[in-house]
Amino acid sequence: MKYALYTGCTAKESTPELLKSTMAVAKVLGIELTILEEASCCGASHLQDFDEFLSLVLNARNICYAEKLGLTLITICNTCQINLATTKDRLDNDEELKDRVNEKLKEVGLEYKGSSEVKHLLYVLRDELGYEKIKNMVKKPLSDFNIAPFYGCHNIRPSELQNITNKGENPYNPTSLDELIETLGGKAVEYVRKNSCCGFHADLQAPNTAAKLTGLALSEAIDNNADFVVTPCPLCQLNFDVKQHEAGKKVGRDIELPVLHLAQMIGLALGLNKKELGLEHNVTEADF
Amino acid sequence: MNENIPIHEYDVVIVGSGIAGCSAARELHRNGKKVAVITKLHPLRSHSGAAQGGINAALSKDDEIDLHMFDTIKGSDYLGDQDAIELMCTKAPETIRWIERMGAAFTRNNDGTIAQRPFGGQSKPRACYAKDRTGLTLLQTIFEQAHRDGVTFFDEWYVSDIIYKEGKVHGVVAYNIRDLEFAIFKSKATMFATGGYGRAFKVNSNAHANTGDALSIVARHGLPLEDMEFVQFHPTGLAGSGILISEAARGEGGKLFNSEGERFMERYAPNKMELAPRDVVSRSIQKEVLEGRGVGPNKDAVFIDLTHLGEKVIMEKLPELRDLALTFLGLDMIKEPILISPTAHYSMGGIPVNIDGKVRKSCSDFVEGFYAAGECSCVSVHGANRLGANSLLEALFFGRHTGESILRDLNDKKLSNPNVVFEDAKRALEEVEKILKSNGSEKIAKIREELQESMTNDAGVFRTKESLLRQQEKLNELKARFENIRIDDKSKVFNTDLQEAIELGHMLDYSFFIVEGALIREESRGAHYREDFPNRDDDKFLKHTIAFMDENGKISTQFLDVALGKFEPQPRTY
Amino acid sequence: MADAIETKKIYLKVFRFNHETDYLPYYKNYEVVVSQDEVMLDVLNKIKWEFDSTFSYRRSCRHGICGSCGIKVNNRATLACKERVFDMIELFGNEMTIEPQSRKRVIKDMVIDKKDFWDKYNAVKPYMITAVDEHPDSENYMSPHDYENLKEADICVQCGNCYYACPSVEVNEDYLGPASLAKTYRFNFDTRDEAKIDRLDTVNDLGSGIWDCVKCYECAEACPKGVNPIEKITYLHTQTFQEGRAKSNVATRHAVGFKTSINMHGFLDEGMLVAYSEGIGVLKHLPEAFKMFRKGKIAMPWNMPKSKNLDEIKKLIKSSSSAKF
Repeated sequence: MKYALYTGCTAKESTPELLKSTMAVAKVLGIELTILEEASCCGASHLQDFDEFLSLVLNARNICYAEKLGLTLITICNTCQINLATTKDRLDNDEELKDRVNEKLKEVGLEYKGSSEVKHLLYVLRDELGYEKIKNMVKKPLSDFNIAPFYGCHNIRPSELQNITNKGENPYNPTSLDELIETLGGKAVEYVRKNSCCGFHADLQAPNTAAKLTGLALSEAIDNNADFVVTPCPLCQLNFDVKQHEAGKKVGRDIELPVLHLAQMIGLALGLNKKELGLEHNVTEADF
Repeated sequence: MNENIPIHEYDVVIVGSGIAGCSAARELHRNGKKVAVITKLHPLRSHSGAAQGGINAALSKDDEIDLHMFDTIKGSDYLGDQDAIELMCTKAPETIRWIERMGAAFTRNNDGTIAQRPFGGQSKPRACYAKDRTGLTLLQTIFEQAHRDGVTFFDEWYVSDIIYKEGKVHGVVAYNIRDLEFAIFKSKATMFATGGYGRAFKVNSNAHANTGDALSIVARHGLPLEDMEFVQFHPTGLAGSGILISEAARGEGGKLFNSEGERFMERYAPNKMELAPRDVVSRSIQKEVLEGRGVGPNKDAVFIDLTHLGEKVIMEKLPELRDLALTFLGLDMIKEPILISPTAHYSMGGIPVNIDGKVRKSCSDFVEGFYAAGECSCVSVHGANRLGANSLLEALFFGRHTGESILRDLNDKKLSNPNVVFEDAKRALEEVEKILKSNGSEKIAKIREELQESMTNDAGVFRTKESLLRQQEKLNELKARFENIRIDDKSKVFNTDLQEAIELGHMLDYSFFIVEGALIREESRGAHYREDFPNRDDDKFLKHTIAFMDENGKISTQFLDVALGKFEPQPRTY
Repeated sequence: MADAIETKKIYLKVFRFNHETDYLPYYKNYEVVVSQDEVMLDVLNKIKWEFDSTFSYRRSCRHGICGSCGIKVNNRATLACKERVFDMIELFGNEMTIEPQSRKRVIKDMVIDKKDFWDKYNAVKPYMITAVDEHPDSENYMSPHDYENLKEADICVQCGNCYYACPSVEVNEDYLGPASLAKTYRFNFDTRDEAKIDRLDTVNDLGSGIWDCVKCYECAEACPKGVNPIEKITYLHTQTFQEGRAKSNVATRHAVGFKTSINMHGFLDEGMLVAYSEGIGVLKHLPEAFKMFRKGKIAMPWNMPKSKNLDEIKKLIKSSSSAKF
């Protein structure tokens, strides 16, 4: 299985453990990842607020490099996923827009064709590798853990866009992460806010809003006996991991809850060591 | 409930916040009058917003006002009043451009002008539209502009009575649905713009709110109702639910087929085919069904096929309709024909008014300070059958025009000062009290269901003396049972149990008028079809029915001449 | 519509509360048989008409155009008259919890107090502002393109589904919320309106306006009419820049900073972005920055990653970007 990996910025900067664990886990699972070194930032939905057309051009360019390799582009960040997938969806359904974008790309010798899919790692694991296969490779089942799945907005909403690649994941009752947790032998914590927003994208401009949303979600996970949270999105992870102390203050309680990346959790079950999973980079002690 | 009912004082109180109510309110408020609009919903929930297909005006160069008039008069089966029709059609272009100037979002031609589409019974493409949500943009626009100007709205207030004394209306009695607190709204002028009465039928396209409350409020004071027997059955309601599939579906080229795959309109209206007026098409469909050529699980529907239009046209022009068929039938009109059958849709009859919206006390006299416009009124521009896309026009034009007429009467000091006392609220208070205390055995939902079912069966598309007499019996029975109802909700907070009971009382009362009018009118005209009198009889019935209810609920009828004009009655074929 | 009518049984847990008589809300269970062509409003009607007539909810048009009957089903924003019960069974199985749009605003059962919703609607001047010719003999000309550019924002029925689903509204009562911002778009992108700038100045304040959107897409998901409010909020963001109404603050600098950073590295310089966006306010991030630094989570200028073929990116930014700040 070969894929083009779009790392996104966060995996190269503030969550180095994400890239580390992803590469390590992919190797064990027999997934060959080619990193798209030419890629640029997806704009994270903020560039889109300033210059929509530019964001389309840059993301079309990102996808071009996966097309050149003839591979599906996979993302390991929900926000990268939604921005790349939105670009793809818009260009694939609007010839005029595609032409306008390609006119620009031509200046750098590229052409967007629409031939590569854009998928998040989680759904590649579920739909292409298959949870059954992962199950057979589990070395250290997570049977001691109550794990709170946190899906992250940009993998499940808007469903009309996301269902193109996540095959009908219900944004009000998503199951892919829960099923993965069970696949790895863990117990998935049932709680209402598992599909809600962590607040990350308003963190700078509306810090109170972001902190409260983080606080509410983590509190609920704790109240349902979670040992740790797992999320496919490094932005949720970063927000939860680094800011949980501040968030706790906003909701009037102490919060101390480890937050793992998707790949880190899988790696634990596959028997990879802490170093390979970069657990030392997690701010809230994740000493498993 | 105590005697300290607050009294709010206004120059004008308008009941109903749809297109007619809002346009009158805006007109009056802009001219310095103190206006209150009272609605049992929120203004933006008014049923005007549900109108889909369009609003007529002879805008284009190859259309003429006279043609619009003629089509409307012929469509009305010559029962429409030609003076009112002439006024409305003449003012239609200005009215549409006025609402456009205020922000209505119409679909456009390539040159930037307002696009128009063909509609049933029209000799030219004349319906201006906003995709298939024309009512929504008009309602929003007129509400928004009234709101912008500062009109006062009382949302979720239920008007339960008018204060009618000495030949004058002095205001209304209403309660706040939130807490059941009553208030008297005292006003020099009172206007009703409360919409239609289609909920009396089982299969209907109307909102739950369209219970025609205003009609029986008026009738219970001994004031007349006009032409109540004329209820329009729209040919294309979704099978089962009756929810409307706009005439735009036929306007854009929809074809009707029976179970044998036959395009049966060829037999009924060989020239106009599917674009014959609604009464003609509805009867044709019903006939196909009765003769065993229906489709669907109960064989009570026919197909409308739009697949030949293709995805692009359907998504650009009829997106809402596609959505409705998906929701209520699970069928995608892009890919397959959908099932439709006639549905009670529009009330041609209503509170009789003259061309300036003044409410009639009798065939020759008027109530002081009382006005009505829109579907609750009968002016009458639709006569025996309304043409598609004329109702939005009526609501918007006559709403505004009635506002202007009230303004004139106020400025000319024609309206005396209102005079109210607490006693004036007695009737409304007693009604509520009686229902709250009711402890009988009959369920509101059950009586309503039987009313709707029997009205559809015996006073629906096809009527006979026999069926109507049966229905009269049934109404008497239901009315008696209504005296023995029970409601379980005794609370003062958002008591919809109470409200449904009050509304059912209204539905029962005005249904008597529908049946009585239908019984007396021994002819077939427009939407009123008597199998035992299949022809139009101009000698006897080129007249409006003006009916009164006495204190014992007995109805007596008089006739009012139709205002004729330049178009002589002719046989009506399509 | 199949040839025979199919029915299924559903098990409902229904939120009940009357603020006049109940101290706390409670849930009541009902079992209801539904058929294939019924919508959730039919279920509400069955509860009221067959089981308990005290059950209260708002409803009117029953076909998705008046916006009265917004509720939540299994926490999913739902316009009751526009949602097929069988579709809901497919989504959730046959057990459903029915609740009002907002439990904390409830008056009775499904009926909530929408005052804050309407206040925010009113706050954005939700009407076309232009001098109205009361007796025009022609219409404004508007191209089909300009009409389509309203992007269906004009069909919002003010049901409130998006507003009560918005997490930013949930934790910040000042936030205008998706419905009123979509309404802002409806007029700000209408070529006939003359109050665009005024409205932009209303909606671009920090704490209450467009910058408080958390970008969760709950509004897009909750909208029964396909209005897609977040798309409209995004266009309001770009419009504030285009119209030169963007104030220099943490939010606008944050958006602009992406372009600057991508131009320099291809990637985002996360540390620099925070510093640039916050200005002096960056000081408050020092404790968390320190935590991150200790854990090796901060890229230093000397090891800031750079995209391969960065010159392509720079070239594209130069040729494709038109936005100014």
